[in-house]
Amino acid sequence: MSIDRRHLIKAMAGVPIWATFPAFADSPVRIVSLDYAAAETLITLKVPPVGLQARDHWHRWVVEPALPDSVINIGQDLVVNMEVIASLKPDLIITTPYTDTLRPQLQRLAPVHKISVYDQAGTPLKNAYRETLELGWLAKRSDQAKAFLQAADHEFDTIKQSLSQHKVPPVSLVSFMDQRHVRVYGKSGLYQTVLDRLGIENAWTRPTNYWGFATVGLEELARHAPSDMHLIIFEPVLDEVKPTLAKSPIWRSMPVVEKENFTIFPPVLPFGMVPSALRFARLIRQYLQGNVS
Amino acid sequence: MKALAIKTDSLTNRAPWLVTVLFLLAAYVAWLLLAPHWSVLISEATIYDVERMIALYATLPRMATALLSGAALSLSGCLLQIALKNNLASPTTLGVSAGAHLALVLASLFAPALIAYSRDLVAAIGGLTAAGLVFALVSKRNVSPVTLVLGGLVVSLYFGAAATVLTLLNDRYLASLFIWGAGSLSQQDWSIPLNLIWKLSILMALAALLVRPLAILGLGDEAAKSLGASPGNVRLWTVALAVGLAVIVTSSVGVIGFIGLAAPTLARLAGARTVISQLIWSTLIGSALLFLTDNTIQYFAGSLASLVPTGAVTALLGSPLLLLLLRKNKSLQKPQAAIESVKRASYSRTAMGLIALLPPFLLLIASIVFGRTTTGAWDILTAMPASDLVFELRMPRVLSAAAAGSLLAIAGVILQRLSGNEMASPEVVGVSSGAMLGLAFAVFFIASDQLFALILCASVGAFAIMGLIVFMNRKSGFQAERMVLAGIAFSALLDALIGALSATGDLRSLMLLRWMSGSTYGASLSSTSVLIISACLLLVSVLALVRWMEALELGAGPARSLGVPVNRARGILFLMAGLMTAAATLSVGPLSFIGLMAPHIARQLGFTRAKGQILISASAGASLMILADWIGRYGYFPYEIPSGLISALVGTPFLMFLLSRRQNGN
Amino acid sequence: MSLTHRILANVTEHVRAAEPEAIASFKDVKIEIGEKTLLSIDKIAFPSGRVSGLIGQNGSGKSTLLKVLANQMPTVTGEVTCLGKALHQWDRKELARSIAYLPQDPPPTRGMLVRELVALGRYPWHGAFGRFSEKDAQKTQASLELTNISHLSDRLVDTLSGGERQRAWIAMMMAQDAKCLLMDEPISALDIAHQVEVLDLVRNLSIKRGLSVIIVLHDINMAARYCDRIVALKQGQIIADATPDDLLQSPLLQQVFGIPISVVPHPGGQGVLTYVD
Repeated sequence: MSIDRRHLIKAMAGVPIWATFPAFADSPVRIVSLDYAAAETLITLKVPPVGLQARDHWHRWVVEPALPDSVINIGQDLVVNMEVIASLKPDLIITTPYTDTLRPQLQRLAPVHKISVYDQAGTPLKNAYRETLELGWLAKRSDQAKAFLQAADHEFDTIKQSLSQHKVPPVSLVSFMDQRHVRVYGKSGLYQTVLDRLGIENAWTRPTNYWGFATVGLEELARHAPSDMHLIIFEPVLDEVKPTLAKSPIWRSMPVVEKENFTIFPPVLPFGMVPSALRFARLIRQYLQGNVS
Repeated sequence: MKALAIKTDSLTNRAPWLVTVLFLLAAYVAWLLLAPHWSVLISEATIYDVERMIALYATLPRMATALLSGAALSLSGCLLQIALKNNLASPTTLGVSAGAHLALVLASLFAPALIAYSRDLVAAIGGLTAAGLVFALVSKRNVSPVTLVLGGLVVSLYFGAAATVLTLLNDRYLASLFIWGAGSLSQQDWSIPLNLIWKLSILMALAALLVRPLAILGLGDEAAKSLGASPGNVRLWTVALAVGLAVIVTSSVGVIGFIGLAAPTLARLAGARTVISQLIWSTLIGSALLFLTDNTIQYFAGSLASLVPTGAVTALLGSPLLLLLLRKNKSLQKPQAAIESVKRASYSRTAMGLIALLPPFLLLIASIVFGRTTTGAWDILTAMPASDLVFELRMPRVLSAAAAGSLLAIAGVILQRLSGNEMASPEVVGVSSGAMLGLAFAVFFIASDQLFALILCASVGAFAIMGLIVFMNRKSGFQAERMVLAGIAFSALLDALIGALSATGDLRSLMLLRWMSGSTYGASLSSTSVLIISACLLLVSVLALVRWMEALELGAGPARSLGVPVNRARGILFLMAGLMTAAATLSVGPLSFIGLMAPHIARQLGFTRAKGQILISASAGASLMILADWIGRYGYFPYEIPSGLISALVGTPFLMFLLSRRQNGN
Repeated sequence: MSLTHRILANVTEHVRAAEPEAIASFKDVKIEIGEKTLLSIDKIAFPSGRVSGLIGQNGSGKSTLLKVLANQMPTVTGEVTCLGKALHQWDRKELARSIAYLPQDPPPTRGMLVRELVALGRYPWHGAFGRFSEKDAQKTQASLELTNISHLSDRLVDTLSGGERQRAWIAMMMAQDAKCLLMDEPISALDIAHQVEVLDLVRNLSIKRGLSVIIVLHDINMAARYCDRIVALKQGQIIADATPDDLLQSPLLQQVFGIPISVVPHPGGQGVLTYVD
């Protein structure tokens, strides 16, 4: 794939003007992101967005990388505050397929660019690589983006190698919605592609939605749980869930729980890009190395 | 002889048969659910078997919960119906469940410790508050059944709107409450059914003590008093007990709508006559009914079963029942006395023009000028760096708010004047809900987001409901309470539908939810100009029809003898009200109550003639909507609160106020 | 019917000759709502074992007076005595065993059988939780027979004709076993035949069982015919308290109704008839 040619075509199609005029290239690009995933990538590339949707919830869902204080809250993703965005005078606004319905309004404020990690292809990690390069180029951090991806690749390889010395069990990845329902992550989700990359088997092979998860009752999870699997629960877990689980016979009698083959991970953005994928890979290596022979 | 035979026949109680049939059906479906795992279920547990665990700790407790909740809700409904002598009473229609729900939402957000202390207590406080509010609203003795239930549903509506605001503002945190709010019976162990069983047994035993006093209550308060009973106390205890039953269920499994209305109705229709038999058979029928419904949902929804909220399904089945009951309910009060008298003021043409134009104009400017900066500080246009853009951003929203507000206001004037009903308005009688249903249809089945297609579908929906209202009222002559109650039943149906759709996780339902709450967020220059042009056109054409309107108010006969083509005139005016509602609903949602408030404001100012009322209402509607929109934009900055919800939060208490004043005035 | 009535009336005339004591009496009773005086009674006593009629224009305080006696009015100043004991000293249940009250229009009793309605009259005796005893059943049956509605006992009250329904309610009052019946316009919704039927029943019961009856009536002729005594009210005050004959002769009659009323002798020879000039 020739990246340069693609960019040329895009530039001709009227995308950011500074990219074609190096004279503008000094000051950092002011980007507003309607998506956490793009934001985490931009922070990693050292061009944090000036505005981000629901920034006050970042610590609950993403945590890492830390969000700089300078980032302004632009409201909820589907009803971002146009006035705030306008006053931030961004050079570029990043949307996703989910928020791209706002494009007509956003376009009046600044050029809009859609990144799609989640699409019909169901290969979010691959897409994330592609979109990272795209973001790097848009943010005038192409070199950093390439370097970051190389480092990521290297780290994935390292992790895979270190895990290959163990007998790695299948895992199931869930978030609790309430006491009785979980989101279980599977096919065409980011976690799935990370598991694939690391050569780990996902115990949940049943259908998932567009975003790569299925919302099911706890009993459904129990039904499709191989006995040797390990269960990984992501924070945030609501306070009222834990005591209920402690009493639930279905939960307690699940082999994975009886054998204590489960753990709670700190929040990892399930709809993230490469930084979240890496964060997840590190966490799972840490867990598996400590818990399997 | 024949008459006698019929009478004896009507005395036989066929409720036992009904219960048996329902239970057999439910048991059959239950068997279908359990049969595949029967062998493992009865075998000794030696090794871990998933299906066995699920059958033992999910399927069976869920069935038990359904049986118990159904019984408790129906007993609650039956107690309320007997104590209040009101066939329409139930935990749903008196707002008890909605109150409990809101209290739980509030507590889980602001005082989680309270929930940890006692869910039941929190729910009970909410339920009792709602019930208390309803009784305070319609405190008059011998209040008509419809009015009481109207009060209840209005309170429900209000609490529901408040819960929605909280849910929207905290969506990620309340994800669970969202599922729960619609009532999910899904279980992971026996704790909930076991918990329910002892609490409910106590309350049911207490209910048994009330049987005889309740029978006495059937003789009327005076006769009951002269028999040495104290009707006030009996009623108080019964209502308290009924509320207790309902909130215990609500706090365990969420809002299961309309079972408490359906079961006592069925019991009565089947021939349960005396207090004791009504109580017993209602309880059993409700138990069987919920058992059957829930088993059927589980059977057909398969692995999705735990997600389809049973409460939404029962509401979907139950709210049409309310409409049917309403049609059957002949024991309504006499037609209401005319609209309350207000001072009639005469204003000069200039004064009227000033009153009509000045407030919306000033508010329009103010709402564009006043805003907040990125850090949240208040600001008068200057500090905002991109002032040119700000103007461009705020203008379409403010203008479409104004246009939508005035459209709804005029539609309200038309409906109120044509039906002679001061509580009519597009939102209250369900026309807005109809428009919303049309939108839902467009989104799900035509998959179109073209403005034109949307307005078309919304209009068709609005007309359909309008037609239904005219049809339902053709005999009773647009009786205020009946009309409003029907409208609110439509809203409940809509709520249930959208609740059920959202639970499936369909992203399109998010769009609907947003429309439901009503926002000018999506206003663009083109949509705004369409709205403004249609507002102006419709305003002019309605003003041209003012004579028709005033003639029609005299009644069909006099109007006809004055040479007004009555049916055509009515049809055209209703049609215009429908169009206005449909156009406005896109921007403000179905529950703004602007169409209710604005005509009243105009009348209070002394504009009683049609022309003046239309102009001033339009002005008031526009002003209110501009204000609501402004609060929505800056109240929780940088997040947005839908303007429709803001005006609902103001409008519902207004509706309650009207309702209570009617009570006091009569 | 009318013949039996006359015979019965004649038979009992001398039995009841002795001066009866008072079943209820009012002294300085005043009820006001806001500025409006509903009732203002210096002194009156209702004789025991007799039928006393209350007449007067709409809003003259008849129903209010009855409600005071039935203990249905919350705030009363002055002294109301019932069976020799002040009203407020009575226990609610005790009072219910002594005084039965039939409100002006009894509500529809959804899905209730006549027998069940009558049995509810036993409530003051067995209370909310007590057993429905053999005696209660007997009293219920006796009341059904007394009021001549045994054959209707398994019908739904709501399916009865107006007169039958009124009799069913009276049966309920009978089952209550009270010494005193208070009835608020029990015949206002009935046709003339049923009016006679109900009032005959009331009078006969009074005689047979020595019951005291206080009854609000609109029709002065009916009152004259069935009451031992008539109390006339106007604007909350008692303006006459006399036997029917005395009252009909008196010029007070015009004052009661505020229109000229004349009296002629009954063509049947007994009593008089009134008519509007």
